[in-house]
Amino acid sequence: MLIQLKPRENSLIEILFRKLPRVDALVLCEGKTESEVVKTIIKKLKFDVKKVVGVTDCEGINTLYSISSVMVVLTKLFKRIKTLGVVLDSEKLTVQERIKSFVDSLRAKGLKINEPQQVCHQTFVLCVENYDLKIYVSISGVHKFSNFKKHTIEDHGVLLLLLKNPNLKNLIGKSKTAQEIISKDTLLNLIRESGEEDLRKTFPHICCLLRNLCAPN
Amino acid sequence: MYIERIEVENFRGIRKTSIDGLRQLTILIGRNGAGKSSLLEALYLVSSCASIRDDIRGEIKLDYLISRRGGRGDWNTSRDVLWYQMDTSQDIVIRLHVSGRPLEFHIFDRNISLSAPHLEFPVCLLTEEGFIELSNGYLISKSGTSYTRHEDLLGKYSDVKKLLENVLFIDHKLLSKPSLIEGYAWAKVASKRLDKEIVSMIRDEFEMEAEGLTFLPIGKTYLLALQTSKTTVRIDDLGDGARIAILISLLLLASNPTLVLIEEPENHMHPAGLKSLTSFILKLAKSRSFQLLVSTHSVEFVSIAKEVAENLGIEASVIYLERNSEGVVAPRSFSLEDAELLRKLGIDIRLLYVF
Repeated sequence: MLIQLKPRENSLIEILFRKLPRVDALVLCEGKTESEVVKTIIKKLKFDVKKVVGVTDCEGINTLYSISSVMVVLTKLFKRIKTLGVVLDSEKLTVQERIKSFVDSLRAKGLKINEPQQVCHQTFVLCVENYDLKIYVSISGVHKFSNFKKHTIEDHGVLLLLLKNPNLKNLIGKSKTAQEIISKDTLLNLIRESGEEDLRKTFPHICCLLRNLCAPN
Repeated sequence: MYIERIEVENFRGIRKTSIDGLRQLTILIGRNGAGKSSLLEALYLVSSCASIRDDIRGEIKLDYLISRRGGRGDWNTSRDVLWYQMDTSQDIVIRLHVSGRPLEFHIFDRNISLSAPHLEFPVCLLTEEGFIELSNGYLISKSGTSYTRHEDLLGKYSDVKKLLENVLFIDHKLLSKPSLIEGYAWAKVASKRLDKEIVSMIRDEFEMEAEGLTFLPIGKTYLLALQTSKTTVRIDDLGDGARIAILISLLLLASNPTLVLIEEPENHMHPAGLKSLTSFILKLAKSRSFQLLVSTHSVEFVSIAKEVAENLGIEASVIYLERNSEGVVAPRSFSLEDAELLRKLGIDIRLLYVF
């Protein structure tokens, strides 16, 4: 079952009226686009509904708090949630550099984190010492689009677009970012209209993250 | 002197708890029955070691604790209700860390003799020398079989005594009795014209035309009343929010508290009124350096308190309480900034039990 935490007033009603005893896992996204993508993929691929998965984003607070600060607060406060998921953009870094920089910033904030283990495509698992918690980190970005100046979740939308229309290859070569090619609305519509197999091919990191979050304990 | 930590054993619905991270302002949240009120009561109970009577309520604190929720019983007839599962075979134990100093209080299952109150000591501080009853300086042997008066020991604990003598517990039962508050507070407030501060707060939000507070003859008695530009209204007849704001501010201004315990200040308050009252309370906490523990179900109160506390430079924390079926209360402490962060993530801090 999916719980969209924002707006708070709605999730409050959901939690109260469904009498939820717990939220099993929480996915924290950098922005609203990522959280919309995650929610759409959860619905589309019908991930295990026995678990309650909350989804939220740092939209509006990422100028005040880094995502690692948010993770530190959540790690210390949560008692029932045993699995946290984070969706990050690679931006200008490689996947390895991005996971390293994220782990370093968690460590700098006092969390004792083991070396990240890659569990599948661009997805890593971190264990936090002294907390019964696993953190799955999924890093967005299709690095074979080497002309893109930064790599974001929209890269995967472009990949999906290419599957449907291979003639767009030329357009990709002329663009500096995926956002120039695909808007947020188009991205979400495309995901809704796509088949499961195509989504697994183009958003493998999100699928991997959700598979792990929904896995039985 | 601030309480930084509290541990409670065998009190009310709490078999055991240990709570760190208390600040000058500490906000207690949690579901019904989580132990928020019991924690406030535990601190009020401990204050009985330094002053057995409550001057505002005009009764013995232990009796008040027993009757305040349902209006029935007193210490001598029904004290077992204060014990976890009414099992009086073990002492109620309350440990405080006050400015780094550990203090352990025991509450014994003993009768109070009203004719000679110094002969019985239900609430005592455990020391190396034995159990001390801080109001009179009686030292009871650890076996509890003999006692002597040791006023010299009081000097050693004078700061603790001062802290506990001035604990102010503001709950709904007290606020439902304006006559008690008027009788206790009005002369003290009026003699220093502190009523002007109250009127200013009331004018800010509750009654825009408020001009002053006065005593109005009604029948054979006098009642506190609010003067406006056109009329004078008994405080009994004011809106609930305005009346409660006046009563709380009278209590705070008249007493010289070291520790203030407030139960659900949001009741009957519009958010704007709650903001005015919270500002008033926290400004006083700042200027008079008292510690404040507030229980609440209001996320608005938490947001308002954050704004005001930040502006005033008051250190604050939120403690979410959760009680399991064995009576163990587990706390989660966090800052008001963290509470705000959770709100922005869409997480309602009152529902932390699902997370």
